[in-house]
Amino acid sequence: MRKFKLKTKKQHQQLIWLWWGLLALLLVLIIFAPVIFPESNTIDYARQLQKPSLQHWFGTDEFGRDLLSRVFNGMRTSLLYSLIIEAIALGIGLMVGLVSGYMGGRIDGFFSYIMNVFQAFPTTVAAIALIAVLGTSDLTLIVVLSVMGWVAYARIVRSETLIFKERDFVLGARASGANSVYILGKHICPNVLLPVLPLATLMIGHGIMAIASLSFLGFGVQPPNAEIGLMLKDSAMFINRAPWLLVGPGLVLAMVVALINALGDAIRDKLDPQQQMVEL
Amino acid sequence: MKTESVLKISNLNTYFQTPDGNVLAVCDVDIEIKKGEIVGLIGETGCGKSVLGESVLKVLPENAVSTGSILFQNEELMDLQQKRMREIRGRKIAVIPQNPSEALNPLIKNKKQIFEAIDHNQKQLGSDKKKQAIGLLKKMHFKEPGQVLDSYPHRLSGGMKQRVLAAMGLCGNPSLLIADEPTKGLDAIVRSQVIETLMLFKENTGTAMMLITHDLNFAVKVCDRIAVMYAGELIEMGSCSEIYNKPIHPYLMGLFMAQPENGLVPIEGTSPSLINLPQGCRFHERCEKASEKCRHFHPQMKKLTLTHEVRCWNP
Amino acid sequence: MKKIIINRIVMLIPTVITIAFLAFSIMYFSPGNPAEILMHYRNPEGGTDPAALAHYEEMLGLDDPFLTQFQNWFTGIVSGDFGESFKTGNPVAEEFFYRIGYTLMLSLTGLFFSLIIGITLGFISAEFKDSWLDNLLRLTQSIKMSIPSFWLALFFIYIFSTQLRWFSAFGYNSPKDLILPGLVLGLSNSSRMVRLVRTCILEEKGSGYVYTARVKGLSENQIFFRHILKNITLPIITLTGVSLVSMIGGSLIIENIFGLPGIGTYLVSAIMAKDYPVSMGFLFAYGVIIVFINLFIDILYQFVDPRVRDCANAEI
Repeated sequence: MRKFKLKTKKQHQQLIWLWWGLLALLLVLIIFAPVIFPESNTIDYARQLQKPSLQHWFGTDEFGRDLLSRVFNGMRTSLLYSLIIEAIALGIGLMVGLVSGYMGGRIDGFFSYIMNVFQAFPTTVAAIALIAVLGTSDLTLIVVLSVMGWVAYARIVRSETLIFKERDFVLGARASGANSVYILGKHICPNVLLPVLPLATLMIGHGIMAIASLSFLGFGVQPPNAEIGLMLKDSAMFINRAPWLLVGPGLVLAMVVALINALGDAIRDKLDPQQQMVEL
Repeated sequence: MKTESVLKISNLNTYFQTPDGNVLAVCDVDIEIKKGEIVGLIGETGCGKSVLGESVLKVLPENAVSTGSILFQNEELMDLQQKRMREIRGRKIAVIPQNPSEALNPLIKNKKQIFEAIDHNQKQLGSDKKKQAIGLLKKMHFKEPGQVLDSYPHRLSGGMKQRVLAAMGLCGNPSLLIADEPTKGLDAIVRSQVIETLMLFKENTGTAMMLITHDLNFAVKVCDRIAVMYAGELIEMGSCSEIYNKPIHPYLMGLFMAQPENGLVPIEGTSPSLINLPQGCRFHERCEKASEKCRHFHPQMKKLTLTHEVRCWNP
Repeated sequence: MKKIIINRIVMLIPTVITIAFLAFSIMYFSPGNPAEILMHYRNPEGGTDPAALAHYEEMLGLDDPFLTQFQNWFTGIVSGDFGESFKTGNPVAEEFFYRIGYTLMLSLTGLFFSLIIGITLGFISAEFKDSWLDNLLRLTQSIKMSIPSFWLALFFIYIFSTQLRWFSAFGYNSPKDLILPGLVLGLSNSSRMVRLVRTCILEEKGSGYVYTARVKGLSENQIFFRHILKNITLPIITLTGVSLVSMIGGSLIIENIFGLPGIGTYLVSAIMAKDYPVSMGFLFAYGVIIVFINLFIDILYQFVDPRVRDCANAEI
């Protein structure tokens, strides 16, 4: 029998608070980026492609712009867009899932079929094709990723609705003559939203990554706006001369996404203690 | 009285280390099983009875620590390495695991799973193995053993699975059978089959048995002696008739009252958490007869007759 | 068994038609006149001659209603004719079959790495559960999950191509050039695999049949190789399918970075060049490939799990 040491609950708790503190700090830096880092677009050819220094922690890009400032301003754009995208996707997914799960029958069959078809296209591929139709712009980016994102929500909402519509309080409401819209809005929707919460949190991180990927390919956020994927696309050209330009944007992006994911996991564990037991 | 003892557990303690503290699942248990004897171990879910069985077999999870002495045929199991333990498991100690529906690997044919048990005892040729496996299944009253061998476990009913598991236990020459909750979650018809299974097993091997169950009626029907566990410790032990006719511990009396034929009177309250055990008698919070003494001092096992012992201040 | 498979394929026909419809409408509704674009490619110095334009418009059947155009295109596909590229004039099907090999090889290399990494690390993580090693591995996985694949690609190019010069950074000359992109693809998809393998092994270890095997006297090694490994293949197969799908999608970006001549690179350049037949054909092909991977995984599942096999047989 192997000996092993268990971390006490208290130590574990402290570690978790450290993570949340870091997330909060990053979020403050991102949200107030235009105030904290106002000089993200200041071009200065005298300081092209500088190495990281005390003035410019992440170095400077080919236009001499401070990369640190650009990273946080770029993350602000990504986070904002991702939140908008997830809100729209959640809205569509919620409606489709609720209707599909509650109505059942042909309507359910139709929506399930649509979901299957949507899932047959890889997000990046479909997004690029749609962007080709709609033209490259930030608005298109948001529309396209929302259109691709709702399926994940619709699936989980549908299966939860199926469970809840058989519950006593719903049957009771129906027996007392409440109409479907009222039941869906008042009884099922609030209950269904809770299990969706962890997914929504995880999807914010996914959204940030998807925006970065598309921008990296040139289909997303357009210059001169700052965005991580876009910055990395430019940095890639100087990979031999200034490899340090890759570090800063990647680091901040990974940290933010990892911490948001951790938040999602924590919410899931709170909501579903059984899952936590497995992880234990 | 002077029959040889197969298993002698003394002073056994088993606890689990968890982030919330140590869970004391088995505390100071002393129990002896003699040759050919059927001893029932009764208690509600979570009282540590299954952990006791697992401690004997040394198949506890990694975060468990076990101390004390377990003598099996005069060999101290506590000192044995896992390698030597494996030779005892499946050969000298057979086990019928709890929950037969999950105790067979759903993706492997019954044949292979039985062969594994046979191979563990003695490497054999394929054809001999098959012959032996069919023999074993016949002993467990299977009508078409060949078909059972060639199918996957999900084709078998719960009772059949249990008999397959019992057949695996038969292939060694066990002198002890540990049956863990053999009747849990089974309907009445299958339950009577289980008794038949156990009796068949005994008939075939003459083994001693440790029957872990929460089913009092079942235990009374089958066992020679019964030990009752509550919150990790033995609270009463005696011959079957003593336990049935003269239950002494208030918890045991409560258990009898909770049986369907006695009107299903439940015992008030719930068993204490095994992490924060109460001071004094572990049952005092739920006991009507509890006195001041019970609240502050922990009772020891007291012998009432040669075979009947109880852990109570007010017997 | 054969009947089930045929049945499943027949059920896929409507899905495939819908995919074709979507792929066609995306390109149909995109801005720009295909005839103009085609004319421009065929005759770059030709300018805008209305007569020539009308000729190209008629050739493409642009005057037909939407559904007729779709029908024409789709009947072409069914008979293997995807049309010709505006840009090169080559048949789209030819371009596709020339390139799909690279994409599949890249995805399979990625899958290979992700399985190797996932199973090994997942096993280690489960075996040394809650130790510092396990914690470290789990932390690494969550960080890796948050790193975009293109960043990992750039990082690897810097380390292995520009610094160590082990691999070439761009283009395809030999199968060796698939190792680096495959590794990137595999790594960025392996986190879920590691997690899944770890959780499954731990779950199976606590299951009833493992307890049975243990009390039967089998050693931990025998239990792992004979019992647990077989049972964790089911979730691994499911995730393998999901991974393969996400890798075929992810290969698009990796191909572009490493300059591999796969369908992803070609699709991106075709979309940028408004090469409609190629874009439609490749988009459709992506969808169909993924539908068939899912089908294949379903069928594979039935081979491994006797319970599912029995259910499927009963259905027919």
